[in-house]
Amino acid sequence: MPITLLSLDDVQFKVDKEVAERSILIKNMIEDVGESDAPIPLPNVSSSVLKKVIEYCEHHRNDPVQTQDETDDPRKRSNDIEEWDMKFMMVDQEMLFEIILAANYLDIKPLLDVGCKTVANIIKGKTPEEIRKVFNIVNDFTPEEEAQIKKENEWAEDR
Amino acid sequence: MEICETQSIPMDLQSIHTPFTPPQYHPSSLVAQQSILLPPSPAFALSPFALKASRPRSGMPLPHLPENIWLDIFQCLSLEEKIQASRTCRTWHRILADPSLYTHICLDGMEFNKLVGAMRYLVQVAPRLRSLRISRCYSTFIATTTVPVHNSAAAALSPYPHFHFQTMHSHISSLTLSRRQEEYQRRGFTLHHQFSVALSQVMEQSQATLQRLEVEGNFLDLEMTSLISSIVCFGHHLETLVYDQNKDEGLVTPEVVSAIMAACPRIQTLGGRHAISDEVLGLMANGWQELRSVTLAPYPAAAVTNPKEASIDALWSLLEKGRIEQLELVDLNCVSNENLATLAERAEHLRTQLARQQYYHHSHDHSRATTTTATTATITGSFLATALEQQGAASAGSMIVPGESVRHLSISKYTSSALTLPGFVSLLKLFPRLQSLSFQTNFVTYDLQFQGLTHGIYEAEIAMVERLVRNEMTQRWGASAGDCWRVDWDAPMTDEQRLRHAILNPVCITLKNSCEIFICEITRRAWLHAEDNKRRTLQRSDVANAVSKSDQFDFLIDIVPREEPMKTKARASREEQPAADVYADQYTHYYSQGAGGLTGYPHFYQPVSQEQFQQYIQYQQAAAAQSYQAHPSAHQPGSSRGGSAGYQEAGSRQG
Repeated sequence: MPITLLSLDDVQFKVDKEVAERSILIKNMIEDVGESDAPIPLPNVSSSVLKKVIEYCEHHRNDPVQTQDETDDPRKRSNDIEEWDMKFMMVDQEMLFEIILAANYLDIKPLLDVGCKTVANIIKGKTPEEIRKVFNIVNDFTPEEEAQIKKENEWAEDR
Repeated sequence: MEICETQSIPMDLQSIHTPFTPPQYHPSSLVAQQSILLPPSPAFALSPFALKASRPRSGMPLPHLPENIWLDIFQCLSLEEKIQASRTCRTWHRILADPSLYTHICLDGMEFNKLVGAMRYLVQVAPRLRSLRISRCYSTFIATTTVPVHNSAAAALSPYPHFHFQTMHSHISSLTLSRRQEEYQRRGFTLHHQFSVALSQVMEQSQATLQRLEVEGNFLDLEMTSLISSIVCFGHHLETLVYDQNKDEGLVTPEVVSAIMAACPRIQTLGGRHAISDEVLGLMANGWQELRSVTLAPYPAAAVTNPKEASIDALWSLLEKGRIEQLELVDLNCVSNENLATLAERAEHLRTQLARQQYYHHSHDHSRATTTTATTATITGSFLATALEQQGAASAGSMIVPGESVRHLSISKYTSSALTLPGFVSLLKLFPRLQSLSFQTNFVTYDLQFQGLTHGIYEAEIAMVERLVRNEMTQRWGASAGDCWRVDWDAPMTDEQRLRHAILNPVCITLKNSCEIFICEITRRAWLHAEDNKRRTLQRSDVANAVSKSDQFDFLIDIVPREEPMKTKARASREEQPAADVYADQYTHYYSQGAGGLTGYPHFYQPVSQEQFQQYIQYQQAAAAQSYQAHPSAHQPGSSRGGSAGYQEAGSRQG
């Protein structure tokens, strides 16, 4: 039975139950409320983002559910992203953060993981100045503080 | 201190953030709309989604993600990347100070200086470390330092006390422990001490949480550090300890093992390819109640201190404990066809005994059962008796026959006795619950043991073993047997294998023999020269002389050093005597022609045989004078030696 999701800007999406239940939030809601035709309001997700999230859930509808303890140890977590996911995440930064927020809100752990890894990959191998540029971060350290932090971390400088 | 200052930053964050310009990136206008759509009713605020959906305050100079997501993101970064990120702004600096980001640390491929820096940083940020891995770290200092070694023994034996021995150099890592200590101290190399201090601080902080410590593939001379004492002091909660390939003999002397055993009772996995002697293995089997995984390796060929590797009986007693689930046997000699057959037989015996005992246990009363087992035990041998007595003391039904506990087995065979089909049969009997078996070997292993082995026979043997193991695994585990049997029949040769293979190779034997003959010959010739000079010790000049005297050693011209001082002296004297120079040229001419094809090295003959040369000239002059006197009219070259005509002419001219 298809489930109707209602986005922030009142756009309705009809998806299979299996797809919708990739989101633990929606799964719990369905379990609590019982199945009904009424659309499920998702007041935190805009239609463009929800469309993207549904696209992800459609593609991963048959994936096995991740267990909690598996992700606990970062050594077991692989840092590489599947090819499809990589392409899926090739969006502008605003959308990327929106997807991460939506995944967090909808409680879709694999999507959140992929999002985090994508952001981490952006940070990797960059100097602080480059990171600031990419994320539009304002450097709010005083020069003294900056000098001190630099001094503390001097050992990591020589590569 | 520095730490206090950095941690005080979050407190004045809010005041600091207000004057900043709002960021250019806004996560649309979600925040505002959310509040309109969903007024914060108490019910919503208490629901778990509400917490997750909470948005950071606007005005933060960051992409707007909740802190827990930033933590997830930073979790994916390495230690160095985290440090870079923490330097971007105050908020990140604060988030990145969260101890939960520093629970699993991997310090890989660092120079010693940097490693020590990283360890010091960990002292500040990582109070609850759960796993620490130090791998592939190296020290440029240790790798490049050579130390002059004084060969006092040779100097004392030398009959020439004034003779200046050329100083020899040795790599610092090849010295003895105390000498190394001395050298490090003298050269002001203190990183070992700094590392020890930082490591013990890190481990002390995390002693309640640290479960895993891996030290692998480092070249740091860790014997100099207090690594072991840090483990002993603060490793109470360690479950996994890996210490492998750090260019030393590892943590396996009985003293070290018993110290670690007393300090870390929870060890489950002891990793690292160490040679473990029977004594240590016995200690480990009895001391570590939780030990599940262990690796046994042979002593390296160079080790002479304790060349006795684990025996099959020690392995058996380890298996008797019935706890080992993962076993790796690296090229052990005791793992042979015969020994495995013996063990399999023992296990089989024990199994039938147990079955019988159980039968009696169930059908008869207890006292009768024990007497029966006691009598059968005396018949079948002492090991059965002890095993069954222990078993009688415990509960009869639950005993595990040695070998049954093992689930994962890994065997490699390079220079030790090769395993063939019967070996695999007993292997499968001995370990009936094996879930995975991996095996590495190559043709040379078999070639070393079986004479006249061809590749065809080898292939056939492989096919038979493959069939056996696959059938057995399929019977046990069904269709998924493919993953259970990992085998490499063509593993790359090890260094020792290469050496042994070379020794047995006929070409090498011929080469070896000819080398011996050559050394013998050249020594003999040098000795002749030494005797000529009334000496009883060989000197370098003797060898040089021997080489120069004989044509067959011409190929050594450029290799064997000549006596340089003599050469210069000879040149000086030659300048004083222009007459001799003429002869020298001719002499050279003579040899370069007489020896044939030696024209490229005319200079070689001049300095070495200067004395002989002059003697020769005198002789020639005398001979020429004689011949001149004898036949003054026709001075024919009477000598039969071809090419000496030039000398006679020259001599006569002078005469």
